Amino acid sequence: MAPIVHGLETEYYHRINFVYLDIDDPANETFKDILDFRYQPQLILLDGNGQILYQWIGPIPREEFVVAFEDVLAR
Amino acid sequence: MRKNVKCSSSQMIPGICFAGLLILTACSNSAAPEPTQPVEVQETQPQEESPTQAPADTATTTAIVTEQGYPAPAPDQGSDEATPEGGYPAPEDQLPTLGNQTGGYPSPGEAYPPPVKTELQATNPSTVNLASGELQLVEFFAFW
Repeated sequence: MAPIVHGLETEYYHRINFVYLDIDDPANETFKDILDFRYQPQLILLDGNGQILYQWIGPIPREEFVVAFEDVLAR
Repeated sequence: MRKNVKCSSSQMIPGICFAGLLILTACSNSAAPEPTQPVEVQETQPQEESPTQAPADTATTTAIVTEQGYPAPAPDQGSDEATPEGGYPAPEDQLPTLGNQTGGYPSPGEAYPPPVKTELQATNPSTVNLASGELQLVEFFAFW
């Protein structure tokens, strides 16, 4: 998943903030609880208030992210 | 019969003065006109030179020659008309132009695009704010 997401970051860096949380880092336990982490890879698209807009679990093709990004950015 | 002529020094002085006056006159006549006054020379090209040339009535050229012999720029030429006929651009044309350069540069405050990452790199958890006021894509991942 990493190369796809990083490629998207290069394309959307100025409109979407990309955050990468290591599930083995104890400092991320709070985020895992808040965002209801299940298993990796898990990607969550949040709005400015921290509300979940989209969520993906498992391998996801790049086009699916692009559709979701464009939908949110068009709002 | 040879006549012996003696000249005294008092008789030679007027002669020397006259000779000096002649030399000065000759030198002053050989001097060029005043440097600040250009001499206008008109050249008329022959009509039979080339069949492709313009008609002879428009081929008359005028050049102003200074004391040193170099052609001076015509007094009615404006400095704004940049390129002389010799093919050399005017100095102001050789300067780089400063215009609005749109594209290629980010606007102020806009960050440069991050380099494409080939490896996973975790974000520092202390810098993460889920309600940051902007869209965020959060990825949970593991290095294993």
